[in-house]
Amino acid sequence: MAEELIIETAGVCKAYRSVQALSGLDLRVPRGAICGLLGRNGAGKTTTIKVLLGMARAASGEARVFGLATDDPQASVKIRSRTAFVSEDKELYDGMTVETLIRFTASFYPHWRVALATELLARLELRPTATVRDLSRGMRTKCALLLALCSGAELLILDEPTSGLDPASTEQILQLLVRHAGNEGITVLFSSHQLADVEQIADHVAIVDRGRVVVQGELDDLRARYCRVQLVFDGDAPTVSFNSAGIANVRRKGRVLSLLSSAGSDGIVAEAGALNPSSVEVRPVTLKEIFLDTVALEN
Amino acid sequence: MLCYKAWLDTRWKALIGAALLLFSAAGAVFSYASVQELIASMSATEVGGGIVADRLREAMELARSFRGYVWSNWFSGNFIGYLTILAAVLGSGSPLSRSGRGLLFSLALPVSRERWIATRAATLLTELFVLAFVPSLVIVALAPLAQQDFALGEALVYSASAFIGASVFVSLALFLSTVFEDVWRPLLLTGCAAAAIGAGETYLLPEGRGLFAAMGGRGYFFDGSLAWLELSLCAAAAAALIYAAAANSARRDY
Repeated sequence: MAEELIIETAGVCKAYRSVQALSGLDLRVPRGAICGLLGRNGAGKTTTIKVLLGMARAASGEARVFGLATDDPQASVKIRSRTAFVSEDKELYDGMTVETLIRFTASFYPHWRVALATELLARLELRPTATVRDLSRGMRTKCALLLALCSGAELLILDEPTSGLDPASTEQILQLLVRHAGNEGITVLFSSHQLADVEQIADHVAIVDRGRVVVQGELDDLRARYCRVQLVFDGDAPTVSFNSAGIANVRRKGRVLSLLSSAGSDGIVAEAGALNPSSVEVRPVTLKEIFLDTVALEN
Repeated sequence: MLCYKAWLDTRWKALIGAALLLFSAAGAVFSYASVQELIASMSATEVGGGIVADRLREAMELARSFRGYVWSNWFSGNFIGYLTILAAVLGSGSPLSRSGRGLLFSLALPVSRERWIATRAATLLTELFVLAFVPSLVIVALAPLAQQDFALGEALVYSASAFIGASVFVSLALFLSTVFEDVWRPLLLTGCAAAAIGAGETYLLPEGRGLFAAMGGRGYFFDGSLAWLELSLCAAAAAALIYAAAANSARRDY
């Protein structure tokens, strides 16, 4: 049975004046996934999130959340009633106290979790009477996350949730996120530059570059499929092209020819036999290698 | 809660405006005696010629009675000037402008942009309503302390006229706030629009016609008639500007 997609975009394009932010974005996030949205600065991560939340409209293509079109204003309100969002800057209302902001936000979500809000206030050491403008970046992030988690939303969208946080705060927030997602069975889409964060909590990954998704899928599946085949020759590595499927990147340096494959190593190893390498090594790759090689290839 | 947010965003402007109007209204009442002494020492011929001199001569004539003085000095004078400025100040700054903190937080809430603007407009109009009526009540309440009296009904008519006229400026400022990101350009442009309307009215229209004449209740003071045409146009213009502000916010990308 096909998995239910909570987020689905097809060929989404978006430009801001002369800058092409998205150029044919195809993103799929299944229900219950914790999906890390990876990409360099300006790759299109934030624009993707804005399109999903109806803050920006796609010039072409289609974006759906919960099966609803994001560019329909009425559907967008319905999407947002089931979605919580934490922005990169953790923008909140500076003039309100934490307590007032909680009451304000709760009024928009019929499934607001009162008991959880009380519990998280204590656990995150947020003072209810503190004014938002007086909160440190870390505390502001915790406050924004509290509001998102207590909204009773089925989908959490987080834009760089751990940016600018110290390692202890990062760990606390990631743990909180994972525990909540596990307990509630919600779907999480979070953008990040921090590959370690993504590897720690995500089960799905989408790598965005130049406004397109260049790699996406389950993290375990990507790890199983992707591998590096390293061929070492007695002399300089030959300049050859391989016919095997799934070659994502080829690097030639001195005696070494290094290939990144997204479809296992068997075909490449068999093909490499004809080149008489002095050694053939196949090893698993990290998410960082997949990211760097994929983005490097794209550029 | 959206109203509460709108009130939080605008409350200092509204409260400072209310204090300004209250003190000015009280000042108008208690300065009546000294103004009368001043007028008694002046001759109408000293004023000179021209439109401004004509207005001054008319004000001196009107100031011979408390009713005339309050109307010329306050309701058709300082009051509509202050209320116009306050309307421009109040209306400047959209709840969905980048200049305010928490824009993305607002946009991510399950609230349509039209509802954000409509709520802000309703809050602004309520504040403007209070600003338009409270000083009038103060004048009626304080008049006996200056051994004078002013009819409540008449004060309410002037307040209502001023409110309807000023609603155009608050709506214009709100609309411009959905076009520009900062609060200064909407404020400046609304001020320029008010100045242009005032100048056009003074030099181009017959006496007693136009927006500011309607705001001051000139017709009601002299012959008990209201400027229905001007007031209706003001109400329609305000509604159209609020609609345009909502439509402009709805179509924008953030």
